[in-house]
Amino acid sequence: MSTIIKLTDVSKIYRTKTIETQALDSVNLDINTGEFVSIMGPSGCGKSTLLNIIGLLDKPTTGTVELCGRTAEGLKDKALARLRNETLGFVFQSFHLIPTLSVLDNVTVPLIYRPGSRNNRKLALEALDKVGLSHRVHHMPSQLSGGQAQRVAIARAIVGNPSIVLADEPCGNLDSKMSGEIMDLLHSLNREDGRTIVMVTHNEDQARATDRIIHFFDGRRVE
Amino acid sequence: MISLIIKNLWHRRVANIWLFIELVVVTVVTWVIIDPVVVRVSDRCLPLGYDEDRLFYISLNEQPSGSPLYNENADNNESREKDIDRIVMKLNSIDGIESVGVTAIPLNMIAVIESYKCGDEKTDSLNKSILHDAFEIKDKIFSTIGAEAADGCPSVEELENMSFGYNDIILTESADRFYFPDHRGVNKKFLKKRVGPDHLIECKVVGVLKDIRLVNTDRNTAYAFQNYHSNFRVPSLLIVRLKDGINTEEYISDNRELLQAAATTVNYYVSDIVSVAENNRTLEERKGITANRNLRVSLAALFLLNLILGIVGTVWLQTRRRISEIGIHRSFGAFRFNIRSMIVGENVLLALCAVAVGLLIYLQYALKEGLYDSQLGAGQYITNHSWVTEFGVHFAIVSAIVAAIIIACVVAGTWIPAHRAGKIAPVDALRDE
Repeated sequence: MSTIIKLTDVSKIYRTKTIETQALDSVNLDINTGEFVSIMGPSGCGKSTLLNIIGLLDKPTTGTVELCGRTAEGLKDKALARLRNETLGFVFQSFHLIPTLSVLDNVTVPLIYRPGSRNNRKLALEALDKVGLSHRVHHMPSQLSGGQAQRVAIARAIVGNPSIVLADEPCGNLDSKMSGEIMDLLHSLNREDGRTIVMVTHNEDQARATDRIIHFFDGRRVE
Repeated sequence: MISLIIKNLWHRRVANIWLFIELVVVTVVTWVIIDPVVVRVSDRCLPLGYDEDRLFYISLNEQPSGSPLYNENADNNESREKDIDRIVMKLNSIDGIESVGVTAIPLNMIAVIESYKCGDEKTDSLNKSILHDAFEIKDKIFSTIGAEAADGCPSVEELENMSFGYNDIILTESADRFYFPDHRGVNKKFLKKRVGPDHLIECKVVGVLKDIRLVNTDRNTAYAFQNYHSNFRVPSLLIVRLKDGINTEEYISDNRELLQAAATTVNYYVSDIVSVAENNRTLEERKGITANRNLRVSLAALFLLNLILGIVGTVWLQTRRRISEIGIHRSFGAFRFNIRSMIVGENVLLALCAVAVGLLIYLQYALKEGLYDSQLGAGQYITNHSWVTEFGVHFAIVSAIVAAIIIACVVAGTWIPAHRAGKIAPVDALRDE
């Protein structure tokens, strides 16, 4: 299997005038295509920072990030945005749906920024069908339950057919029943579509169900 | 993107209502302020039909009878004519002067002296007057100011070399078209009606000039020029054309004494020397046009500055509430440009809707009260056809200008908050809840 995510010696330091915080310290990481990886660790250990750096939402202070064989180092804002759009899908703990857009319009968002994208509505409907919400397309986010909102977020993450889905505590705001449904959905995306999934979680049961668990402590990877 | 902008705007319609109302009001007020400025500027930009560059006036006055310099022997028409001829000859010999013409009053100070009616005594079908000026046609007045003869009519040189009778008239093309719509008026006769007791005199048109606009602030180009015989005591005015490449103001400043000496005779003395361009500017100021324009432009600028500041504040607050949304767009591939376009686009679309409503409101008022026309005071005279007098065209042109100004203000007011929103790092934007 080929490596789809490769982090080499990645460090991240947050600096203010008075304080310097090392969020990540020389992290090396290889994730293969089609893997479902969990990242675990106590709060403040750098899990979300790592996910943001993999997702090209944040830049490492030192080190390099490679996605799908392309290094992100030195890429300008436009190129980073294009790479995010084409290769990555995000699922956030607090769903991050746009409250003024309908379910269908929320799912269409990644396609708006894809050059030459056609049939946006059809693709969005297919993605919503996949997460079992084709009957809620015209609802507003405020009319959905937590589980439904997260399923919409997953539909949005996969609508552009990205190779990698990054999920930051996707079940953090859900009850156990809803969490089970979301985890089943993520596993089916991994197994049936072959998508690489990197998930940050505090839940050991959910982590154990994935292919690999990576533990973090104080910004370092621990075995 | 356009679909996203429309949806965003629709879902935020309640939040945007005050900005919308403000823009509607601003549209109406801007119309009221801008319309006269646009009309005045348009009038001023019309071609004069003569070349005001390198042209200046020398105003002559006669010594009053009580003055120690007054010479009673020179106070007659024959002496006056000789004096004027002498002055013209002297001025023509001064280095830098190309030609000299004589008139009774400045080009832009023409008043209605007499009105004209075409046809016979019993015909009264045409009851409009045109503006009339008196010129000493024997001098090179038309060639000096740069007027041209209408096609198929005697040339300016031919006109200046003609021997004129007292009732010979030269018309401009507009006046000619008015009196003789079907054919050229040269050699045609018509009746001149004197002001005061009805008295009709038969006049003859001896020439037609291409339209000239003697008053730079109005649109009128219908004039009748009549030969001026120095048989009554009036101040005379010399119009002087300088040679190519000479700066008029500098020339006047450097040669004032020389010009004064050349234009002074027994009873004539120089009261003023001023460029035609400066004289036109002074006229605008004296009529209050300049002050009115400056006031309106200042008002508009102040008003629009307020609008920009209001928009900046409103959009700033709106974008502050939408940081998380911006983060979502950025994380799914939006460029900074996309964020800027989205925010600016929403506000421009809102402004377009508000401008449309504002224009509809103003249209109701305009249909009832009419639109601004700087020439309304000259209603009895012929004024030239212009977009200003065409209601539909006038409304469309000024509306387009108003819309462009307001959209420009909205873009200016939205740009900074939109630019800053676009620069927020996606990770920071997503943290904002």
